Amino acid sequence: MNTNYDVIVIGGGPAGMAAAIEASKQNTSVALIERNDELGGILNQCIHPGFGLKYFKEELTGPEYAQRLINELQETTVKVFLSSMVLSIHHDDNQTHYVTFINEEGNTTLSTKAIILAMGCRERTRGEIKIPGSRVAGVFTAGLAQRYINMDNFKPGNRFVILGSGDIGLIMARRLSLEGMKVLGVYELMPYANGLFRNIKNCLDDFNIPLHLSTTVTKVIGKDRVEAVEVSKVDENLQPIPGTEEVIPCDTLLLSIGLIPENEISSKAGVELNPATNGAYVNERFETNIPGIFSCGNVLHVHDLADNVTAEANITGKNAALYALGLTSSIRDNTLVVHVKTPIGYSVPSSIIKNENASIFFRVRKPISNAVMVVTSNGKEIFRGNAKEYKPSIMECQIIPSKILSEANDEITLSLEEGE
Amino acid sequence: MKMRICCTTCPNECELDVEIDENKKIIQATGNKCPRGLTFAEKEVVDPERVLASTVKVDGAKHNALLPVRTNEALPLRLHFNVMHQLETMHVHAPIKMGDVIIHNVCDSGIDVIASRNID
Repeated sequence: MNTNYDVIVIGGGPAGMAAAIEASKQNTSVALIERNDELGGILNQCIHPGFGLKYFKEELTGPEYAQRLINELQETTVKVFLSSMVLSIHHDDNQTHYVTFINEEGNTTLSTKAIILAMGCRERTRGEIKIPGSRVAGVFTAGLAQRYINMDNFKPGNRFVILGSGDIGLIMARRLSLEGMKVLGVYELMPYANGLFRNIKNCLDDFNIPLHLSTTVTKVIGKDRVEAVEVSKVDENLQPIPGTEEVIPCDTLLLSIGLIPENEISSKAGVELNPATNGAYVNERFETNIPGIFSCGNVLHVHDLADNVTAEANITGKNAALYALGLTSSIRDNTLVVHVKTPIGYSVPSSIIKNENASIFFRVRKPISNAVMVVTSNGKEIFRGNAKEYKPSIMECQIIPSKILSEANDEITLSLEEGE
Repeated sequence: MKMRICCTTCPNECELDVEIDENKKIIQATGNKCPRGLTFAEKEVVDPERVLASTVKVDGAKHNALLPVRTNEALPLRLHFNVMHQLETMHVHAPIKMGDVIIHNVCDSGIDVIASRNID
């Protein structure tokens, strides 16, 4: 068996497949390692439509989106390892990387010039927000319930309360309703909904499911199985208000409370992580602090659209291939550090090349109805955009032309000036 | 009567504020960036349509218990539970290719239910 590849991709979801396809187009040898027994990642359980409008220019379901990438991948020479779990990444002094994975045949180590981290993210669980009460059966993350219903043909419960108005929670509210289960309500800690507006309309309003803002679950009640949850209103500091408790009888609590990039392998390999995203710090080529290790998709930062994941992964795949072929070197000179000011939560990339056009992705931490993007460099304003609306549920992209960046010193800072 | 509508024709997802008369005719619409928004809104106030996605049981597959399916076009919302009842009792057999017709002309709507992926 060949144990050396130009590029190794870890993860076979929309990021990994798109990165592998693009890397292989540069005439490199590529291996893709996926822990599941089939390609597609979480797209396979996202059976609802709404995918592909940007990338494929038509509306597809998750499995269709995945199938198109799988079909494209099958046309390439990419070597795919399924049911294979990566355990570790090591390097030697010659900038060669080694990826060790385990599967039914045992341990295998492959060597490579470039690695693309595309492991996606996982769901936050009850422990992460410390909901008090009994430790009973019937508390699921929304994505796990989605897998049970859409792939495994299991029914997780009968009467549901959903905590969190992120898109997965909203999509699940519709799915449970269609399958004859009762959704009593969606509860959201924040004073605004976290999901896309289309999902509020099509998943809640279509089924008369109430959305309760500034409300959270403060207790899980039950002996062996959930029998009820207690919900409470929260104040402006997101603290439960005593006296507002209400007990909702139900048998299942679904949690849609956010996603965490799955970076255990990355950090063990020495990849530096940004605490604002839990993903790697990357430069404009999506390369991490370690030369030859790249990162893209939800393992880098949580996206709201698979289309954006694929677009990002295409760029990353190409960059990793060019690096592996020795056609580009790691960028360490002539770069600008990208800073952000609240309410902007983070930026990807965190550094850019001075003499190239830059696309900077970012997300705001609170909704702003009207604000102007202002970019400064060492205190001097170099760019001012048009006024527009910003929402935490939507990842934004600011393009800054190289001409403007040539005026920058050694850093740029993105800030939003709130209008009336 | 006033309504807020989210046009789902393209990723812009324009939010339209529309005012309709007693015959559900649109008197005024604002917020749409293109004419497709108005077309969407006209349908939405009279007989809203959505693509319906669900699953059917699949026999003889290597890995999968269920096949994801969807309507090949937006189906009137009022027919969704009807179609769900039909899908509930259905079984299909592997192998299946993405796009295979699972139910032709479902509920006489002129719309088909199709497979969302390949299953070996």
